[in-house]
Amino acid sequence: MRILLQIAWRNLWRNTRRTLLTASTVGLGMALLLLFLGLNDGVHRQMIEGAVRLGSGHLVIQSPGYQELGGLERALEADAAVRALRWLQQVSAGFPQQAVAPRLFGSALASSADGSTGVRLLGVDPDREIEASDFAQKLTLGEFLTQGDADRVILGSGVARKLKLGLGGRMVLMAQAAGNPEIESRLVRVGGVFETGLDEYDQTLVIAPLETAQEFYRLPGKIHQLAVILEDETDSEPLARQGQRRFSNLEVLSWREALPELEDYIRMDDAGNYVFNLFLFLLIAFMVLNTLLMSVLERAREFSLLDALGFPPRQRFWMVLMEAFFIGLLSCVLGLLVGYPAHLYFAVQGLPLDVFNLRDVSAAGVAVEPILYSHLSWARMAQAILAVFTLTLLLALLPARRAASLGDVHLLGT
Amino acid sequence: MSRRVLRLNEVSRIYHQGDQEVHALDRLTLELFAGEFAAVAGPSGSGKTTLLNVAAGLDRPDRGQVFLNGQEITGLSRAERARIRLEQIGFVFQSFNLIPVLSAQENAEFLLLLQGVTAGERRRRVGEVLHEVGLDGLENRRPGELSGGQQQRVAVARAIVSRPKLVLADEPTANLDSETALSLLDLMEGLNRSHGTTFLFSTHDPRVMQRARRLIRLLDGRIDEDRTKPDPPHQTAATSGGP
Repeated sequence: MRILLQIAWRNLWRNTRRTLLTASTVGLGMALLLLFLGLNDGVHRQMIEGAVRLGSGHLVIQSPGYQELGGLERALEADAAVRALRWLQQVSAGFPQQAVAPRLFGSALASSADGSTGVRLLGVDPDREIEASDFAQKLTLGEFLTQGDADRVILGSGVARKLKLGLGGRMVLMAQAAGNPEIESRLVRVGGVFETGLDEYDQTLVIAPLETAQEFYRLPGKIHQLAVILEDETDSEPLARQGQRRFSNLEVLSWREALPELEDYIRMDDAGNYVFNLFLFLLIAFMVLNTLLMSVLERAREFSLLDALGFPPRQRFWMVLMEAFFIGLLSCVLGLLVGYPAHLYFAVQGLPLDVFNLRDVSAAGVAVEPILYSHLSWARMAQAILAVFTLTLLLALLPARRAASLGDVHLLGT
Repeated sequence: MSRRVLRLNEVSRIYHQGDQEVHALDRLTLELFAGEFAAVAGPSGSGKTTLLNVAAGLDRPDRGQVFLNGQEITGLSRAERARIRLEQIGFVFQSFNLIPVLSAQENAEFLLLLQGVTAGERRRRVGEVLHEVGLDGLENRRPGELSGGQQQRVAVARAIVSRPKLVLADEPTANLDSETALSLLDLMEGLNRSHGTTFLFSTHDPRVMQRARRLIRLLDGRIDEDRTKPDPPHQTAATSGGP
């Protein structure tokens, strides 16, 4: 083995320029791969974060069927919500949580002196919601709700525009309460206006204190959803599975299940990126294959000599694979030396979307932040390294086979 | 009687050139015994190289059998023949054919490493053999840093270090000047006499033919003449007064 390693390593440096050029090409490919993966995962991470902060949370606990059917009456009883909260507390050591927010959803007709529009009403616990969602950060006017607010609401900028309402403006909410044919109405004041950049929220959403919403819809003590924000997004799936095992009478969903359109978008985007990366690597692969094959064919006489001396075909095969292994190793080192700092730059400084003349971009119902920040997990880096090694070694199989089969009878006589 | 090292029995090797068959070896039978210092001579195309290739198991005969130290190698797989070469045959090539990335010492050590000889034993044997071929002080030089004669000495060291039963030397003096060639012949003959190593040369070089104690002349793939000579009065590098 020592002699194999020794010859393989020294063979690399017989043509230093070629070895460095090959390793640099593969390394550059790997650096680009790291950069693309980092930016891609970064965008997805920001989108997930944005979606869970404005929507479901990383984990949703609700009544069975609520995800598919909705409905005002499909609310969680107070004792079910308490049991769910206790469970969340029990698992918090293994699955650290940033916030747990109770929410109640309904629809209503909102009217002002200047018009009326259909709205979605979201009842929230102000103290918990401010930890869980980004609505407070998206306020363009006024302040977020506080405990004790009863008739103050905040609304999307589109709703405010349609109803021509400013801070302190009054509007009437009208809706049919749960299990009651009568139409309920309630006068509320505008305490703030938010703008998320997403029509789904800006054009239709009104946020009210939880108790106000419960009174309005006659659902005292009830909620529709517990939205959980986790410290680590990747805990979402295992915690959801655990919750599903624990509560047969509740719907416990990960963000992927609660936001299937976002999940589909990310998968499609990943698939597109994989295809792009594949093409990138195919281009590099041809160069690596060419280099390795040339290097073996140039040394045909040497391989014949090794054959004559009794160096077994299998060992010649391994020798070329080891050369490829060293090229792979060198490429990975170069790739990491270039790719990781590039990732770090974009992780800290970010990539402003306006350099591509992109503004107010949204995808799958989620607003894309104006600055993209790269995010590269260790697992992703390991995948990239594995991809480079696998590719290099796979490409070396053909030259290695050739090296093993070279046994030139014409070595003698020349 | 000496032990038989090599036996070629009715060996034929046929090459095809278009529609024509060329009999490189034509029902050739040859025996070589331990301690012989033999040369195969003949005009180009007479089958010298093919004979060496077939004897080493680098090429397979179309007919006949090849026995090396009593073992038939004709039907063995490539890997098995490679193993036999590793353990039983030493090579000296016309164009030296050293491994360019290894030093003189490492080239000489190469076969011992493949044979799994221990580090201490390797060091001892390589040191001895490099001293024997006159390469003291040049152990760490790579082939590119050595003269032709020095490279061929390394090749001889590599050929004999594993104590093979048979050394096949293919035109070993062809690329050397007269003085270096005679010096190399002295060296190989000395090794033949002191260690009893069997040498089989293919050659055009009259000096080698003169020095060989057995001369086999080939013509059209057959043995035209097989003559064992009494020990010749040979010209050495010291007495040649060569260039």
